[in-house]
Amino acid sequence: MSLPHALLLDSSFLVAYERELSPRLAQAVVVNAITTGRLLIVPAASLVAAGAELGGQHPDLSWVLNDPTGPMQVLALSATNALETGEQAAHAGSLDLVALEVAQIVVEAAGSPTAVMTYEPKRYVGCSVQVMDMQPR
Amino acid sequence: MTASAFADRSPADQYLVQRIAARDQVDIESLAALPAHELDRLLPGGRAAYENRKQVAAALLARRGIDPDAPDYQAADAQARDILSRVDQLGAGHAA
Repeated sequence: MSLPHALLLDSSFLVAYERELSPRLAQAVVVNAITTGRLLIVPAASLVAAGAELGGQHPDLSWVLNDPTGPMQVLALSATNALETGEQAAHAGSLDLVALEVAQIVVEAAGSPTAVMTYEPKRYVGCSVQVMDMQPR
Repeated sequence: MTASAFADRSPADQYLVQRIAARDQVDIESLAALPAHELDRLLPGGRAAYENRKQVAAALLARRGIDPDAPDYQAADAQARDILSRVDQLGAGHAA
């Protein structure tokens, strides 16, 4: 999948989007992306991992996700990519939620210009994806 | 289909092409030559959402009770712009 200028939001970004109070960096990134017409994409496995961490407290994520023409496009797990995602996770040696999430991101974004927006860049060490560390420099 | 077919489309068409490609898990090249009305058929409401994106962003901020002119949000906004600039540099490096 090659989507120029698109931003792929991982679960750490989604959790920050829901919880950050100050600075509201994840929210500011989303707002800037929307106003400049960038595509925001969210892997289904990232939503699962974020949902597990947020424990049912995700009103703002739900608000932006529940509109089918809203600003975020969910990347489904389907016949096209689910088997490959499972295979990728098995190769990585772990089958927890985050490992499945990273596996789907690698399947979707490896070798492409799509940036993975994350507060947990160490998750992607050794993966051939473009990572943007959201942690303060 | 060449990559320039995508680049030659309007910003709204490019947004629709990318969104449909992500949803349907197909290459953007397979969609870039479709006429605009076909893109609209494939993603009803998508063009209006793109054209109203500033209102969507404003609604998102209002929902969170965020004053876009507040100093703390202005600081976050500046940092966000810097991050997106670095994202573009990553993309340029990828293309090079």
